[in-house]
Amino acid sequence: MTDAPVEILVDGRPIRAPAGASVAAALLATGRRAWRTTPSGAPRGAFCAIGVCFDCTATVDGLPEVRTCVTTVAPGMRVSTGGDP
Amino acid sequence: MTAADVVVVGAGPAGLAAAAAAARAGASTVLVDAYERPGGQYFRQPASVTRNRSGVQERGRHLAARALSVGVEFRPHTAVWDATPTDLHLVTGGTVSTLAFRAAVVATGAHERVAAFPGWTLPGVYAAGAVQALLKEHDLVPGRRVLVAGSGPLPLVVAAALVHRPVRVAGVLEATRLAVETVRHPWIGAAGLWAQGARMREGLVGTVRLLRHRVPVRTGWGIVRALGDSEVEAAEVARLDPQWRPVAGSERTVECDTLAVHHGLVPNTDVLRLIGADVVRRPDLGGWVPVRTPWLETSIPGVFAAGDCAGIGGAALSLVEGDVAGAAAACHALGREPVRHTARQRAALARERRFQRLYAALFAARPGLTGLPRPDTVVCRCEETTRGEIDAAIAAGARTTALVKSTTRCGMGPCQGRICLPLVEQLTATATGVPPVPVTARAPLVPIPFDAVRRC
Repeated sequence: MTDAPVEILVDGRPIRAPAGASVAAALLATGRRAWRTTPSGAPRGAFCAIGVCFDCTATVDGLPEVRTCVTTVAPGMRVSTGGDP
Repeated sequence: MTAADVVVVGAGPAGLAAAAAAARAGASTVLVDAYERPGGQYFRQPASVTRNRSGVQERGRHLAARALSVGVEFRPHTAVWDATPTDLHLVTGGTVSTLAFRAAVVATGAHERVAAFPGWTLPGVYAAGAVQALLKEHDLVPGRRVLVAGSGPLPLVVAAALVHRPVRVAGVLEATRLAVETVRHPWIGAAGLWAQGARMREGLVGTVRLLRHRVPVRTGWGIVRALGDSEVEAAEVARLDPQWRPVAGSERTVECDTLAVHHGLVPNTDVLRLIGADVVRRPDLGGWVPVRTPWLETSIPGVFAAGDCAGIGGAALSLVEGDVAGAAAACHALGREPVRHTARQRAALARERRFQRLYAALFAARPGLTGLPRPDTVVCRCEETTRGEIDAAIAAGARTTALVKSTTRCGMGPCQGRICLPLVEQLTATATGVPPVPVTARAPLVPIPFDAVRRC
């Protein structure tokens, strides 16, 4: 196992993240602080970062409401941000 | 379906110790954890294999390696979604499975209490433990100018870790006036700190480091509001009275882009309550905790509870409780009489429980926290239920947490009330004067794919 960076697709755009990084950490490292919109229109990102609060969810490889803080990046992973399905 | 003599839920300090003790006693032992790497929050390991580990992370790695070396089977990325007194229903990735057990040690730890305050849903507001987790695991600080606020040792530890990073720590606010209250409880203070050299050293080193970096550290101060349109731009802070109520007129604005907030920890009793273990409300221990025997067995025979999920006590108490519970669980599973506590276990339990009493006296959540949310403040982050809607439900006759939940939907989102229900419970009890009853735990505890259940 090495630490070579991994490329994932966030809303179609490639970003690079260290191997082993969580999707939330990868998004935060790009300077993004919010990647979900609640039904009332409020922006949300990570809050507890340990998988408890479900604030940081996104659609990952087609699966909705995935907690990005406890999901590890994988090469070619497709992340769709935006909001509740 | 597979089976084990002993199953341990949670691979933090208590779970690692329990699994090792059970396996050493000759029981076939399975340790499950929701994360990829063992360690829990305290021993959280770096994601990068090449990064240097801290002393705490190194200790955690040794404990995990020791558990594996005595034959513990570790199942990472595996969460409990349902449980009975004889079976755990697990989900690994998208796959469900069932694990039968003769004895179980539940060591599910705790999650953070963050009081709802105006602006706390803005991006840039984090639980302090989140900032610590991102730092420990990903070597990442989610901001440039961080204000750390709340109560207990964690905010101090987080702030002290941040000063070596390319960020500015705008300040550390501790709600309790530590000097005043330690003098007020001299015996609890002296007893609690007896033989706690390492803890005192850590506190002192952290404080000195913060002061040397000119970080303002204030006790008797707290966060009252986060300011900003689409993310945090500043924080309103205020002096607090001994009940942690903001003192009118003392408010000040602190510029920051990130808030790390921590108002203590709440024992995670989901699995225990699903199994049916009796719980009692102990605000000094963080909330609802299981009733236990001296061998840490719950009201359900063969189901044990160890560590913070049975009352907030920290890693040192968790380690010795795990040791005791793991050995006792193995005895139960193998049909032996429980072994007596060793002299070392007795001494460690007594020492750490004295510290636990001091921690409770200084840092247990105080009534001022429930006054922070205003009528339009979101209390339930998932369902966006406001304080006003909760108050209205109580005024309309909802006298229990469960009734408030079912009339307002607060606590019914994907986090299942883990963040908001401790506060809702306090709001309801304060308004009605009715002693709280625990909310029923319901499966699935974590979301599981629909077809996964249909197949099983």
